[in-house]
Amino acid sequence: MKRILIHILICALSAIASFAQTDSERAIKEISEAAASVKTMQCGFEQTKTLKMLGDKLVSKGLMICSQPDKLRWEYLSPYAYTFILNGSKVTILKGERTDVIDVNTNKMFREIARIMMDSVLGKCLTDKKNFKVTVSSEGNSYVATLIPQKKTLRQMFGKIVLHFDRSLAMVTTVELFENNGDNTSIRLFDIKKNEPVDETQF
Amino acid sequence: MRPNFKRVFLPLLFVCAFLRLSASLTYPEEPGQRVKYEFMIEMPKAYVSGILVMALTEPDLISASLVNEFGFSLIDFTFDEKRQKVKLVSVTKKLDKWYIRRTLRSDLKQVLAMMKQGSDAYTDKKHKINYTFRLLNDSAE
Repeated sequence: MKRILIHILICALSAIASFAQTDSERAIKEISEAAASVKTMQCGFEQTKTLKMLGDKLVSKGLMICSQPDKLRWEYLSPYAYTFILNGSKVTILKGERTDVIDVNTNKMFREIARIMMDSVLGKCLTDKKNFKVTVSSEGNSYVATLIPQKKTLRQMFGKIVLHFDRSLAMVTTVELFENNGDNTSIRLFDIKKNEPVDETQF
Repeated sequence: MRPNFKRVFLPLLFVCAFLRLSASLTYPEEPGQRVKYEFMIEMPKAYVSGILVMALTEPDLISASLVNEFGFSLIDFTFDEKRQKVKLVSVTKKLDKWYIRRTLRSDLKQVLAMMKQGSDAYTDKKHKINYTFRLLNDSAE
């Protein structure tokens, strides 16, 4: 009797596991296909940084434009002005009267920032098995993908990254970055325009 | 004709009180008071910029966080005003070297002392590091 019960339990558990795996794989496929279909994207964003030590929040707002495969403009408009422009291997930073041009191949930190920003908002990180361990769950009309960084450089920055993918929009709408010191940053994307012509001079 | 006290002096009093209040917000003096600055730390070969948030979390204890514009944490520290001691609570991996920590502890102490006096810049002449701060207009929140 005991043996039968154990067998039934094992069968039930493996059935649940295989169902969860299939479900997760289906979600990853759906998000990846949506990411592949995005050639350009423009939206507004609201970034909320939660400071654990101070129990405070820092809210900033701005605009984002990206053009596949490697052009991104991430512009903060309030409460401070700061623009990060990625064009191929070149990053241009505009802050006040300063303009700095950095080669991402020689600056690991900027390479990671550029990659995280672009791959997260497009949902491309999900198929990046070399850099992330991914689990996906379903919440109403959204998929919630939790990415655990595998590479040392990324692990030093984040404990995990959570992407909220809106199935009806077929877009990532919120990116949450959890840091090792207990702080986290949530970036909510809104007024998303997909595959509309973008002003190339912005890059 | 004698000026009407209520109509002339009272609004003036409010304006003065408001200006005093605004002026005092360059450094947290009361428990729970918070101040936010844009900062730039310029070193001979690189620079770091972002936002500094600081608050008086306990009597004589300033707690502060430096984050870059993307929201990534760079440094969390506390400053004990009585003992004049900076404690680095967490430092991003890239800056987490013993010699950087030592310089940071000493420079941050000077930076806070200078801020308390109403100044917005400090130069570490020995290491050629410039610290500049600008009050952040946080009305967007």
